[in-house]
Amino acid sequence: MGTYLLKRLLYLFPMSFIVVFFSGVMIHFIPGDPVDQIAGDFSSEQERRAIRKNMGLDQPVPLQVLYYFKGVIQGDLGHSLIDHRAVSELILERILPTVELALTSIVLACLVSIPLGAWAAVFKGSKIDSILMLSSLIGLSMPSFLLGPLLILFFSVQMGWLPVSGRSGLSSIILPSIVLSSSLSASLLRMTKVSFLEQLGADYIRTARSKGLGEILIFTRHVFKNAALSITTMIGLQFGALVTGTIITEKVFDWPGLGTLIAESIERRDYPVVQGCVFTFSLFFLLTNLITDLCYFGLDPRIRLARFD
Amino acid sequence: MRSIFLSIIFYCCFFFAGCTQSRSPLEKTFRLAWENVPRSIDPRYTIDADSQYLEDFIHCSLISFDRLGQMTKSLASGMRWIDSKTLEVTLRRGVYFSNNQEITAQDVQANFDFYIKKEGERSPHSANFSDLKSVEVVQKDQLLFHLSQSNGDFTTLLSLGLLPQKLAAGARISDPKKIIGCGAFQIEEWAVGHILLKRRDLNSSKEVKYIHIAFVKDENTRFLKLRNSELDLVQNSINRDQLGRIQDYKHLRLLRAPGMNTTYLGFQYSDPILRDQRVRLAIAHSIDRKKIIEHIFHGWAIPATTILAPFDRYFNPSLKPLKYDVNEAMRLLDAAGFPRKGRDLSEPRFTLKLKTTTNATRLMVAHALAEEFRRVGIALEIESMDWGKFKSDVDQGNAQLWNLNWIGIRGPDIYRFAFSTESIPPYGANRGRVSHPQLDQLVLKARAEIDFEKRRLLYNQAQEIVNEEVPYVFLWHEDQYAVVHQRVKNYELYADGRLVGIENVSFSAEK
Repeated sequence: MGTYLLKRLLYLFPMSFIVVFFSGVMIHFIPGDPVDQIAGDFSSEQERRAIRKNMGLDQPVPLQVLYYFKGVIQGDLGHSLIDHRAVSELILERILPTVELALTSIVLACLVSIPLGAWAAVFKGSKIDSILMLSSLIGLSMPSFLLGPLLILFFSVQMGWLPVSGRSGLSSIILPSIVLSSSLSASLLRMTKVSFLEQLGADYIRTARSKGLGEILIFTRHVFKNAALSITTMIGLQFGALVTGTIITEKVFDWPGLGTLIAESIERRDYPVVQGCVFTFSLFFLLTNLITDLCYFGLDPRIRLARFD
Repeated sequence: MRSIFLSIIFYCCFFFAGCTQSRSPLEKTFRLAWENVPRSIDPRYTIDADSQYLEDFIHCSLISFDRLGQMTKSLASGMRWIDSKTLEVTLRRGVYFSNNQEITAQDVQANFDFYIKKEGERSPHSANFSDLKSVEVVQKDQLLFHLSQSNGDFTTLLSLGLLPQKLAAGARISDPKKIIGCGAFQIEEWAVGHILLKRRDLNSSKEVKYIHIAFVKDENTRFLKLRNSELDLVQNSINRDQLGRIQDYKHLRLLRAPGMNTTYLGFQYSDPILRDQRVRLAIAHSIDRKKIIEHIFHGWAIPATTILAPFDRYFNPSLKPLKYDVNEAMRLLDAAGFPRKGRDLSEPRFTLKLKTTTNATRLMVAHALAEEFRRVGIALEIESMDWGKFKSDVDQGNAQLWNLNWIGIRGPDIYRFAFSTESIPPYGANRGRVSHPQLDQLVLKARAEIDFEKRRLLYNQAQEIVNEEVPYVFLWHEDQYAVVHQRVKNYELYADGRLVGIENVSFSAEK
């Protein structure tokens, strides 16, 4: 187990570096000059040249990316071209709000979707099942830039229960996490229903029932445990997507996370910050995948044995 | 069960530790929202509008600008030209930095020495000070600016914020805690989503003791925050379509004042079609600006005659605005050798391409222009792109036509910067590659003149040449507008969009 974990952890960095290399090269292909953002309209060509030289922007792109790697290996993600603050500092102050929002959304999605999905599986074909499936369809098809303002209008403006936006106190996370979790909840609900139905029709469940085991025990000890594998895969994959896909929700709710940082940095052609954010996102994805794999070990002894053999 | 409970508590404590609550009392705090975070707190490196607005609160400067954008004295109590190359400035006494150190001529000298130094990291403003040779301290409160050549526009450059001598000579400041300013406010808190400014003199009779600036990226969210009484002011950053609904909300008020920013349609002189003055003039005649103002800006703009607003003291009142005249436009196009084509004359005379940003209002304007051009037989293709690519294309001369806004115009030297041959990018903003020897001479002569009346006459002539030459179609000057909460009293809008009116606001007792 220890060797496997170490091997996976060691893989994290080369994988992230590949992602950063490609993103680093590609961002330079976007037309537009960061010097325009730094120097403004009134600077002279001499000053623009000096800025380009100071920031290493006069070097060929592959060389710039290589210098960036050198810094990353030494633990230095560079400095923002625009406000000159350390990229690591910028990422650190934004990472907590993003993780906080993603985790709250995932917890919310699990709390809502898993019990409801199980319920829909048990009462398959009933009115409750139809209502739940219809709601999940709405959740899947409602874009966050529409759902967000609708929720704000009702809960904040009409009822005055919650703040419109910002990150000030516990109440401010409720609406953004509902919006962020809406599509995840919908797909998780459907996935839970399908997995539970699959297990409920399996031979071992019939055997358990014929042995006289109670429905609650069958459900918690057998069905849930076996269905958990596909649910875990879904949560694992979605968590990565949640962390990186918060841009619109962060914008609507004015949530100061990594999504808005990367969007602003692309707009400003702030290469080091974009690269730093991509590096962080890729680490997130890879770590989430690793944690998901580790969860498989806990859930299914067959996988555990197969991996270690 | 216990472990689950403890995990939940840990999760809440850990994650929500970062959430912040306001540290200022509501009845003394003015709350506003900006779309973007200021890029610099160091006045020597300020280039974006938000940083300039912030600078007005935390820094002071030798001169300032009034509500109509005209120069006024600020820290300077007196200013006079000793000769055409020497400006004497006398400072107001008893003005202190936030570290309680009185501002002296040495401090001012250190600030301007930074802009003219030749080595090390230079300021983006340094190029503006190319005529400044040296700054000499005469007394504790008096100094002389020695110029290498006469420059009547030099005084407008003295509006940059001042730092104490030690900081002014040092490296760029990016830590808000290290900023020492001489403005009425100081930075109390600089967080990821907001800034809190605190009045340096809390015993002052002014009612606004704190200014809370929230960064709200989304236009709808800004409006909803206003509706929910979470903000006192949003200025120029709410969609005009929503302004019509303001009267439905009793706690909100709409303010409006003339603006000095100029929207224009630029022409590329190197283009074989647009090189012909008759074509440019025909295009100018084909645009019904009043109709566009009425429908897209809901009447909240005035047609522009030149780059300067009509209330600018250098504005030439004898300029004749270009009329909307489709027949004249068609006559000019025929005369320029671009007759209508096709059997039933329905084919366009030629096709032009307009580059614009993804900004919704600019795109609407572009589509309105396309419709206007169609009437005179010009086909218009619209290409919208993000700001970085747009700016790069326009600067490099890769745009046949483009629409843009001139903001922050600080004096008539803009005619040299925008239209003289020496200002073709990268040396200035003559993006259309205009080359008019008579205009070049005139703007240089006007710049060197320090007598106001003589300068005014020279710039009046320059404006006449620009009007005949039509390097731009000057479209309109958009009004400044703001949505304010009912509790706010005495807020005044400035023509250049600055927010200094906040300093004199009072709050009404009722909520």
